Amino acid sequence: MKKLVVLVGIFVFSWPLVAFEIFIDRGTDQVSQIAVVPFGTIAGVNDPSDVIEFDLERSGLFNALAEENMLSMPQTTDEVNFRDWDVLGAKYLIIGSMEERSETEIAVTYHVFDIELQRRLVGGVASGRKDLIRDIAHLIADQIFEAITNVKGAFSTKIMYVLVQGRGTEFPTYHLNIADSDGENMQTILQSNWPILSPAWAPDGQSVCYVSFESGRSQVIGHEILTGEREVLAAFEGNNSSPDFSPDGEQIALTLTRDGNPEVYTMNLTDRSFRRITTHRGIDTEPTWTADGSSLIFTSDRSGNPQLYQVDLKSLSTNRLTFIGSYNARARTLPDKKHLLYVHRIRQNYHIVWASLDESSEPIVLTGSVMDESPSVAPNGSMVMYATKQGSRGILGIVSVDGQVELRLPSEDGDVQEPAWSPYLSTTLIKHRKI
Amino acid sequence: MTIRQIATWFLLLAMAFLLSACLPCTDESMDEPEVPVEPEPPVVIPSEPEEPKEPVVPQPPTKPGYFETTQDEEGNPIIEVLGEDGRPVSHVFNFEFDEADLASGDFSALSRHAEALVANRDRSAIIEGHCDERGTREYNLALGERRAQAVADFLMSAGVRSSQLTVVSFGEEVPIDAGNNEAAWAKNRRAVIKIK
Repeated sequence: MKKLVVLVGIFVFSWPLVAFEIFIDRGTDQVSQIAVVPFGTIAGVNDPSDVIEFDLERSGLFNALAEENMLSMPQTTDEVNFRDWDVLGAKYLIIGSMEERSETEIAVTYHVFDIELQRRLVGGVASGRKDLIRDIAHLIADQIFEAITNVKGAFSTKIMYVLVQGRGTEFPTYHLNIADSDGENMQTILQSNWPILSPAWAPDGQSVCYVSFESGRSQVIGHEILTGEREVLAAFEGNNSSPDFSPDGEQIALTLTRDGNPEVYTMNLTDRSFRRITTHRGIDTEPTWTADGSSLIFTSDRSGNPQLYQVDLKSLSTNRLTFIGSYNARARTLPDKKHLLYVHRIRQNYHIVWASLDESSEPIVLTGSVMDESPSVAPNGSMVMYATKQGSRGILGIVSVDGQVELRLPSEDGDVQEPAWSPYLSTTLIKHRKI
Repeated sequence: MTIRQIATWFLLLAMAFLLSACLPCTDESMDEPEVPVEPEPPVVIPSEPEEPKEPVVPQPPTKPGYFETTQDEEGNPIIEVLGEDGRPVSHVFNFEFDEADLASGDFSALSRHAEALVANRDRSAIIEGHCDERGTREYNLALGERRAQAVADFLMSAGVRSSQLTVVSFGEEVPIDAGNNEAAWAKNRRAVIKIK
């Protein structure tokens, strides 16, 4: 295999500085009122409570009390008067403060209170470099979310997506971008005048793979995020497409047409061997792994139109999963191992739906636009990111798995498509301990 | 060691140093220490495909009357196949939604392409397959290949050798009309023959 080591920094380059604008489209009745008291600022460091409050709000489960309505502004536990918050209907109170550890280091202390129970739920100290204040805030939001909901928070994760500028013109530009889960801190890891699609994260979050047409046709390419080192993984005759990492990161599933027809394969990333999984003259594509790594779910039109199938990787026995509707495609499994998401057509419209994996259950429609596709689920299974249209512009949407909350992430800067939510990421740059 | 050898070594060392400075930054080479989360500059793919450029060779002898090199709307050279009347025949063939069947109205233009390629075995063609934006991207990548393959199959059944043809699918990634209405979709569902 050809190994591409790309020398970077040769091209003069300006980065598009566009963050997503997020607004909540549709809300639920069961939101809990929270109060996030300002933590205060230290020279050169923004108040992390803004990021924490926004994280909790965009989970759709919480509604934050406006600062001007607060009766007191406690920063330490002994300053908390539960009555001040009870009268305002707040269910949870979050307070905190910042302390400068050195010229470059900062520590943020936080506490979460249940107002009804009149007790502290959790608290901690998170510390790190001052320029990582947003990451520190996301980490604290994760802790708060978990303390209240018993579901691990996924605010410290990242999202990857393709931004296309000049779509439909002679010279479109494709960017593969990675941003924080709130759309901030965007960085472009690849820019090309050739299409990029199907970005997928390795389970360690250190590398990604995708389909690039930079050679004039489709190739599957592996890309290490930190170094920018790239490697061609599959470049056979025909389509090389639809890569998805196995849960252990040792293999990818992908679609190749090297044998004359689109078939699903697995590729061992250590010895570079390929194994053909499907054998059918129809289109077999869009493979994705089940959470235990024992089987793949893929799209096939062997019945006459696209439907989802599951194949056991030991026996290769295959069973059809979807029977309702004439277009069911591009599945992603949920971490609960029991459900999946896919694209389902109703009349002329494409929606993201949620369904049980064991039986051909009635799909539950999560999204309501006309052209929703590419679902990708947060590692905690609570939210789904997908690509949709606003007018003729491609934007990203986020919907909670229960369908109660919907967010839009419009971009000023072109068509946004093919979102991929990262796995949980570990960092050594931020220290955290509970208190 | 002669002066000249020393000078050569010095030059090599200098080049190695310069190259290492271009490599993805390591901590030592950064002005600001310890910024591991600092975003790397993106990898930028040059506009042209990375495939090695073929040397410019004189065009193979072409039987007269089949080909004409013209320019497309953007001024890029394209080779068109001429019909018996000397006018270019269509090299774009459209499809119905989620279908890869050729329209019978396209058969004469396709036959003319086949004739031209059979009469000129040194010529080859890239056949691109494209889809409209509806449906999932990867499924459309497969569907686009089917459309291009339908054209290739037609040409081969008329005597064109498979070695003369390359099939490439772009799925829905390269629309010619960015609109999201039936008129735009109909234009985007296409196979395109590009004569080389």
